Amino acid sequence: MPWVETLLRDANARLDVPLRARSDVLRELRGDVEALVARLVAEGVPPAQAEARALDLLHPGPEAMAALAEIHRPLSGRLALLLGQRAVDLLEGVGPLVMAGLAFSAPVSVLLGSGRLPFWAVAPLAVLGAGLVANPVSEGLRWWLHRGARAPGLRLGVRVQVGGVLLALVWGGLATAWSGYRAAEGWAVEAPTPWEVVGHVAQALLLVGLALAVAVMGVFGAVALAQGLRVARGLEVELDELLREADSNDRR
Amino acid sequence: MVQPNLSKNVNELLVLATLRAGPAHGYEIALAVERDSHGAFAFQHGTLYPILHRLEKEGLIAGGWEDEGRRRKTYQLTARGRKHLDGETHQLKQLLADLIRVLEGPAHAMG
Repeated sequence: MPWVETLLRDANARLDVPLRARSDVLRELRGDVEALVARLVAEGVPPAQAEARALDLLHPGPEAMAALAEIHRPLSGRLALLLGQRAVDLLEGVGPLVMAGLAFSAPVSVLLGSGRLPFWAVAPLAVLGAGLVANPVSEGLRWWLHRGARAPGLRLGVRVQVGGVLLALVWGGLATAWSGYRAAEGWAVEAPTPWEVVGHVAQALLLVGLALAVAVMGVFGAVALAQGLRVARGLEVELDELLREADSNDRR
Repeated sequence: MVQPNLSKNVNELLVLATLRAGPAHGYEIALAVERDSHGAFAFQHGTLYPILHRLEKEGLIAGGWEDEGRRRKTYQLTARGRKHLDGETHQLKQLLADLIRVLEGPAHAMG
């Protein structure tokens, strides 16, 4: 009796709605179909006829599928209708990077303008910081636009974020060590004044602080992405279980 | 003025009117509409679901899962839905009265 499984798999394949709504529609459909067949059979209708009646009444045809897609259409779909798909793709791809770049350009300009930190040390941290902000913002935007996101994309996002955090820490450490080494080289030739030593220690602390700030921001982003991943994975598992359950019910 | 999408509105009103009797599952609503209208109105090929989801989105009905396993979804009429149903029923009555007056013709009206 593979009809419930066939019904759900067919509806799943044709239903163009976000994951949460998809799971709910299929769950509702399965519950109604099973209850209707049970009721008709209890009333004395032969099982084959009861199933045919349930399919005829409840199995969503093209018209119902289109209407469901319209009702549950996420913001991305509405924007695509309004502005075109290319505009939405551009918004998703470039928007977060531009926002993060603008957010970072101000404090970095101030730091560089103060002359306390060398450009070669700050610029990579600024780029990393912008990337670590852009990555979760981009996934968040995608989630908002599509009312959900796929687990593989989020998993990649978490990995990128963790990699970025490690890179920021390593770069901060290396830049501080290199800067200290260069200063020590100079001090070997000519003894520094106490103010030079204080100035250099302050510069090293600023650099370490900047690297830590970038890393902490990255960790926040990673936590947010991991949370999103947990929700997305939960929805995917739920949908898989729903289809598998129908499969095992049919086999019984 | 005649409403532009009368059949869509009628389907929605049928669902709302059925829920006036109390909470029901989707399939129960479909069966009740068919039974109460003596087969004049019937939902086929899952056309009931978009109507239910639209009404739920508009806050005219409230959907909820019956058990923790979320196996059965039940719908019930909200206060807003009841008010909407009353208003639309009144308008529809007016519309049908006007329609019948036209169909029966001026002679009948004068006679």
